[in-house]
This record gives sequence, C-alpha cells and structure tokens, in this order.
Amino acid sequence: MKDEREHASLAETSLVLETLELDQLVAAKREPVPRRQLKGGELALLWGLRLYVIFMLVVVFWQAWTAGR
Amino acid sequence: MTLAAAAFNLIFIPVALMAHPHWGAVGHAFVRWTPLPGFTKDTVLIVLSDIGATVTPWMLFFQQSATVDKGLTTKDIRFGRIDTLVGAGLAAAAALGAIVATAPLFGRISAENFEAAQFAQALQPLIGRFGASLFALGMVEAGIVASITISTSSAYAFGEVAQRPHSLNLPVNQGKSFYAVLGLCAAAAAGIVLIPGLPLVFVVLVVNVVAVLAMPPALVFLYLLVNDKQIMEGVKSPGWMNALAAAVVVVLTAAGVLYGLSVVAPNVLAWIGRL
Repeated sequence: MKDEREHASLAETSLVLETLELDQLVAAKREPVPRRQLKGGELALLWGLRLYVIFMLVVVFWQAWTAGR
Repeated sequence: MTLAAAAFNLIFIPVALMAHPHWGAVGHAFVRWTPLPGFTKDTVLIVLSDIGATVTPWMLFFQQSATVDKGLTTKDIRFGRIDTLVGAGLAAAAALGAIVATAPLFGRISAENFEAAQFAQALQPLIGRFGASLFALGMVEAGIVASITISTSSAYAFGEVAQRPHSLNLPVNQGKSFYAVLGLCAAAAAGIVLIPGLPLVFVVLVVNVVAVLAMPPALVFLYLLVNDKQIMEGVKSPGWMNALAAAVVVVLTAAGVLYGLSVVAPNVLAWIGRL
C-alpha cells in the first residue's frame, strides 16, 4: 500500500515537472555552463575596471575621511 | 504588496500638482537644464549620487534573480523588456513629481541643511497639511520599497553564492537562510540609521556614489553575458541595445572620473567649469 502511494507520488511529480519544463525550463537551468575563455581585450577591460573601482573607492574613503575631520 | 507599495510612489505626481507649478518654467528647465548650481565638487557629488540612486548594481542582481524566481524564460523576453520600460518610465515620472513638488523650495533650503522629513514640513505652507502629509508618506514608501528590494537582492545573492534555497515563493521553514539574510540586512540598515549623530544625508550620498562607481564592471560583465552565443543561443542582445549599453557604461565611467577629479584635483574641475 505504502509502495503504491510512493509510486503514485513519484509519477505525479514527474508529470508536474514534464508539464512545467516546457514553460519554466527547470531542468535546463541546472545545466552548468563551462567557464568562458576571455580574449585579451576583454581581460584587459575587466582588469581596467577592477583597478578603476579600487582607485575610486580609495577616493570615496578619502573624501569621507576629510569630511569627517 | 510590494507592487502596491511601489505604485504608491506615484503619489508625488498629485503632490506636484498641488504645488501649482509654473508650467512654463518647468518646460524651460527641461529644455535649458537650468537653474543649476555652480559646477563645484558638491554639485558633482549630488549629480553622481542622483545617478547612483537610479542606476545601481544591486538592481541588476535583483532583476535577474526576480526573473528566475518568477519562472520567466526566453519566451518572456519581450514582456520583460516592456515591463522594464514601463517600470523605468513610472519611476522617472515619480522622480519628476518629487522634483516639481519641491521646486518652490529651490534656493531656500537644500539637502545640506534639511533632511527628507523636513522637506515635507517646509512644503506645508505651500501645499497644505494634507499635501505635506502625502509627500511625507511618499518618502516613507520610497524607504520601504528600497529596504524590501535591496534586502531581497542581498538574500538572493547570498543564496546563489552559498547554493542555498533562495526564492520569495519558499515557505519560511524551507528558506530559513534566505529569509534570515533578508531580515538581517533590513535590521542592519535600520540599526545604522538609528546611530545618534550619524550624518545620514552624507551617508546616502556616499552610498549612491559607490553604486555608480561599481556599476561599469557589473554592466560590462552583463554585456559579455548577453552577447555570449553559447549561453544566449538565438536570443543574443541586438546591436542597437549593445550600443545603448555601451553608451551607459561610457557615461557612468565618465561621471565617476569627473567625481574622482573633483576630489583629487578640484582645480581641474574648476577649469572644466570655465570651459
């Protein structure tokens, strides 16, 4: 009796997933995408922006510190 | 509930009408971008902070997490674009309402000597107690919506990084870490606001400036993502949208550099202002 209930429950779950998959792509969202190999220009741009943010944060902290004095 | 709270943001439009603005002057200000204060370090800080209150990295993270949470797929891209466009338009209309409503105070008070609640009090002689109360409620609403969305954005981000369940559709007992982070963020923000003597206006300005400075890397990352053939397959970002995104990155980066110059080399800023 318990086995039958579990079997029915599994069947219902898979039916729900199959129905939803068409619209919500639940399983597709779990597929990992391989890491992308960035080209030279893209890498340089991202590193440039990282340095830009670090430099600008120092500027912000400097302004906050001088304003607080 | 969040949608209702966000819709209440439009309360600034009737409040603006209650201020009986001089529509000719409003039109003139739109076309000529005047009156503006002098091109100083403080002006750059305020302008950058205004941009940072509108275009923020957490907004990108919130939108992508909410898109997943709502179960949207590639079939919903068109609707998602319309949704974003309508949302941006309504937010801009509410912001314009707030500007027009407070325009009569221009030159008399500023964020330097008044805080948000006091703007409502200063408006009372002009638009009456009812109008001033609506303005104050609008400010409260803006704070509530911001605290909901920013805290939720942080909880989504934590869930993604820690690979824990993260969805507003989860019951509390299934999303304990998600709701705990959400609650902690809101509580931490409330705690910071309650610190006695903290210059809240300056804190808001600085936080928004940091948001602008952090935006270009987030946008460039998003740009690479939406142009990745492997991920996007047949729905890669079109050229005209890439051009718009590139323009936003350039403007935000230039605004950040201008801010940096205003702090590091104020003389250069004064020279630019004379051009």
